Amino acid sequence: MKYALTVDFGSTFAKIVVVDLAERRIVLSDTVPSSVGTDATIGMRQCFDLAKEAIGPAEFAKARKLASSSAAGGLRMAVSGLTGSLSTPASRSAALGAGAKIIANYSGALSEDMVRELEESSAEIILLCGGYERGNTSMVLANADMLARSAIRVPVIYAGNSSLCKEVRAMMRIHRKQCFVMENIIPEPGVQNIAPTQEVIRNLFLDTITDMKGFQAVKKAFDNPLVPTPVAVLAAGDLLNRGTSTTPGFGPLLLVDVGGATTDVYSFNENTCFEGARPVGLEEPFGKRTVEGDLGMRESSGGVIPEYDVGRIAGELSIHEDRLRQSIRTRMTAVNYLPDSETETKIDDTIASLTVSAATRRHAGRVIPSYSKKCQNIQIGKNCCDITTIIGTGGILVHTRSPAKILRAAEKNGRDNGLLLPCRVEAYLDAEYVLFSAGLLRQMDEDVALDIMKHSLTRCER
Amino acid sequence: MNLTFKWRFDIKNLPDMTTLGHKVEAIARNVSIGKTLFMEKYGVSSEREYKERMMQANTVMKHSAVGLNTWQATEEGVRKIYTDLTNSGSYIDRYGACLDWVMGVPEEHRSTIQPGSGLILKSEEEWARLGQVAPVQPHTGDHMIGSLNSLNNTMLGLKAGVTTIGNISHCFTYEYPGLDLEDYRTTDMVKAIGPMGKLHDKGAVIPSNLDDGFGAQFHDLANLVGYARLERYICEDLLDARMGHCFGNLFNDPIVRIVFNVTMGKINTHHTPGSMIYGNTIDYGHNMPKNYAALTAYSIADAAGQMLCPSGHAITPIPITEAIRVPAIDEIIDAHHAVDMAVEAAAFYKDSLNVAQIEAEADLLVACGNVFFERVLNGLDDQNIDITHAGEVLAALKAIGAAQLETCFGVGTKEHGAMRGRIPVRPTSIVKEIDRKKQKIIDGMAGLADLPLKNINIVVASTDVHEFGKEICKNILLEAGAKVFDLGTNVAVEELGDTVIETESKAVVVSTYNGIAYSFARRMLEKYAELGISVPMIMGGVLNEPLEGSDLPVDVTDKLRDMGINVDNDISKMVGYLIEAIAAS
Repeated sequence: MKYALTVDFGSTFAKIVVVDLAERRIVLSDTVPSSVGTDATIGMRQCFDLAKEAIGPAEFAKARKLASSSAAGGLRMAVSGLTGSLSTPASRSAALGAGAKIIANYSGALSEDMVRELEESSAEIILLCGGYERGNTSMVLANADMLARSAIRVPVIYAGNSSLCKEVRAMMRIHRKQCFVMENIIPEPGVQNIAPTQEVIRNLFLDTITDMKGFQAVKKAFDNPLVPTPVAVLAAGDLLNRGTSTTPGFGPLLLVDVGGATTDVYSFNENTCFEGARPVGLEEPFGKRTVEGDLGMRESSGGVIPEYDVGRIAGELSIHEDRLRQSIRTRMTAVNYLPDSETETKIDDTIASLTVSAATRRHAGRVIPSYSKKCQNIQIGKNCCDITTIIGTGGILVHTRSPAKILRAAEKNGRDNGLLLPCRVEAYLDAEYVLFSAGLLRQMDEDVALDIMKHSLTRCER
Repeated sequence: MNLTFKWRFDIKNLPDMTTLGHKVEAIARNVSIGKTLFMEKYGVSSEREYKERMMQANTVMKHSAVGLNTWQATEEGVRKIYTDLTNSGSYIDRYGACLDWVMGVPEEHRSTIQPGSGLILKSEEEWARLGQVAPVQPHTGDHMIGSLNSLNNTMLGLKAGVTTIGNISHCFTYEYPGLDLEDYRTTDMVKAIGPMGKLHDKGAVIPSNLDDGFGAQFHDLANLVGYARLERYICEDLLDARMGHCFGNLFNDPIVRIVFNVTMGKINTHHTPGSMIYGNTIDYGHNMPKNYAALTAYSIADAAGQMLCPSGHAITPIPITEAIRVPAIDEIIDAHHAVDMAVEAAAFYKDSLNVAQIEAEADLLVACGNVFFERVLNGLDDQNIDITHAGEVLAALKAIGAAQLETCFGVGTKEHGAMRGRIPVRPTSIVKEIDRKKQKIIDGMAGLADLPLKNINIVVASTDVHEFGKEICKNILLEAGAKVFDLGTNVAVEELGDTVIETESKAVVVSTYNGIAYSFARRMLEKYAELGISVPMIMGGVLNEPLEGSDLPVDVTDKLRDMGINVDNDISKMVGYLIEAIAAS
């Protein structure tokens, strides 16, 4: 086998990357319009045709074929926990790390209104958590009861206080809910146990995908079980940071994927205590992913430039406020819109900068003073100060003339008091969509996966 | 085993040991050891040589710390101590120069920190004077190896003729707020220990005061012995230096002091003379006659210990005013006179001591300490720490912390509910004291056997590093049948509130000593309101805080009571209060 062929079934494009394994180089990187909503096999055939053209049918047949998919914009999950610093963020972390997208998250007792909101939402899985072992039972049980009696028709994963496992399972069965009971996600103070829950999320992801048209055929055409795209990207970023035994990695890095509707931020670094501050809350993972559903270039551009900010930003762009309002409206409705003038290009760049700035600021942790100057400062969230590299991906970054400027909006500035972002980063672009591909290849050969990333990622000069 | 590392930097970015080795070679080539008046007087080339001679002769040596804030005052002080003691027929062998924390920071960062009350040596000339005041050998321990300025200070010390330069333990517990240079600190420390290793045959010795560092935080002496072996492993096995362990501040049992000295001798494979045994400062307080008695009690033991097992440690007469102020020079001289008497008395005691039992105790501590040592090294290796890299091991031990080292790798028998989950093989003096207090309270309480708090969840926490008050409360609550969720030390309000919910706890018990009682309580009640909880809260310990711009803490008990917090500050009343308060809420 000379080649590996990797395909990502995304919601906008299907991406194909073919890699020459011996020479460790990319021989084909291309995209075709996504067919996930209609029939996934259409996009797959188009990708395969491109591959056959590039390496010939004989090599194509022999090539190792690996695929990932974002399952039509990501597996949509809702999470419910008890507190803002313990069970709720643990369940968010489990869902995001398994590649899901969180469309609703609740902390504390579920109200009738919240349950109604959930019933009307497009959530595909609900994750219910809460209580340490031997800890809370009443609020967790009440939340389980609310979900059981609701009109929700999607699977519920229960990963809370295990003393309630039987009761929760019984409640859900009585109300005909599919329920998976996992180990407690926060078994005791200071301990997080998210792996078992992530396993079941990934299995449910595969079930969901398989139910979509064409994916039965897709599954047969590939050698691996489909991997959620973010899981592949997490594997790639982890490798890119650490390197292999023969090749050094990039060290601490940030990865920003700016999409039309959502923006994903990943950080790959060891969480350290900033100047000896005391970290509170949950342990931060080495590879951390956050998804911002209200930040993006098109559908979510209204979230990037909210009404109260239109005046200021229009002023900076030297255009009239109404012009900017109109531009945002266009982007929110025509999601395939492409800038058709110099001004519109500038507006796109501005939205991108603001998106990167806001999304990385939500991703990074911060240090706040303690209630007494005699005590250590308190650190909430992940310390990203040691990050030296930022990698951008997504259409806007690949096509803009000033990707470095946009990406460096992640740098900490004078107004960011206590924010744990770096002051200076080197910007790189993933123009060939190599990340998902490297993440998939990593299972086969780490050195090849790392080499193609290091060769393909381009440093942005401007 | 659940091991959490609090990393301050990525240790895999440290230079490799070969690179560091080359740097050390280059540094060591340019080092020379100066000659002090002391060396000239006794015709030796290092303190080590002198000490070996004294050990042969079975002579007890004496040490004093001189903690004055200018070089001029220090110089006058050392001269006066030497002259007065010599004139009165007494003696002093060595003195410790207590450097200010500013000295532990590289020159370029000094402007960012406020000088303290210690000695600041302003130039190489002042450093050189350390050994030229009187024939008393200088020792530098504070803010040297282990600080942010390890290499520079070590070089200056050696040049001045100081051959005993500490203090490894400082790297674990001394912080320089506002300066987060841990990676630099670690590398610089390795670069300073390395040349000390190259000069070991010329008498260079690195002391480490166990009671200054993690040592003070262990509950089990056996683990402390294993930990001392870890420090030896880093300095001696990995960097070829020679170490002497110093201890004593936190040992109030005179016999344990003798046992521990013998124990330290047994793990001292290179037979390196120790620096000094520090005085027992646990028993020092406001009552001066009592302090005198404490001084004589420990110094008789230390002197007898040296007579039985000469280890090269000088003994330390601690001035009786140590607990209340920086002692005056005359008070240091007085303490020496008292100790001279104790040394005379010790000669009578030593032959009646049960040497076999002391040896057996020491053997037990060494055997158990070795198990701890092996467990920790294996544990680090399992966690992908390069245990042949001195910097990685130092940083990893610091990132784990003493409490976790003891919980995860300790040697005592495991027992649920015991402090750190194990019964100590031999408890430290402080732990013994706590156990005694706890038992006394439990014995005086009626009705605990009926488990009045059965199945009630309660959160306990400490606002600072002190865990003993919290531990006593926890044990009594467990005796009363409660399910206790222990959040540990240095707990922030932010985590307490959410933990009450996740555990559905019916009460919160907070121990505090660091003068923040009022701010903590106020933030805690704000958090209660924010989360909509209203469980009873008990606060105990030192209930004070400096208020309204003052630096002096004032009692805030009344303020806390007005806020609805229980401030009985009496552990024996805790269970009774909780039964009533929980029933009422």
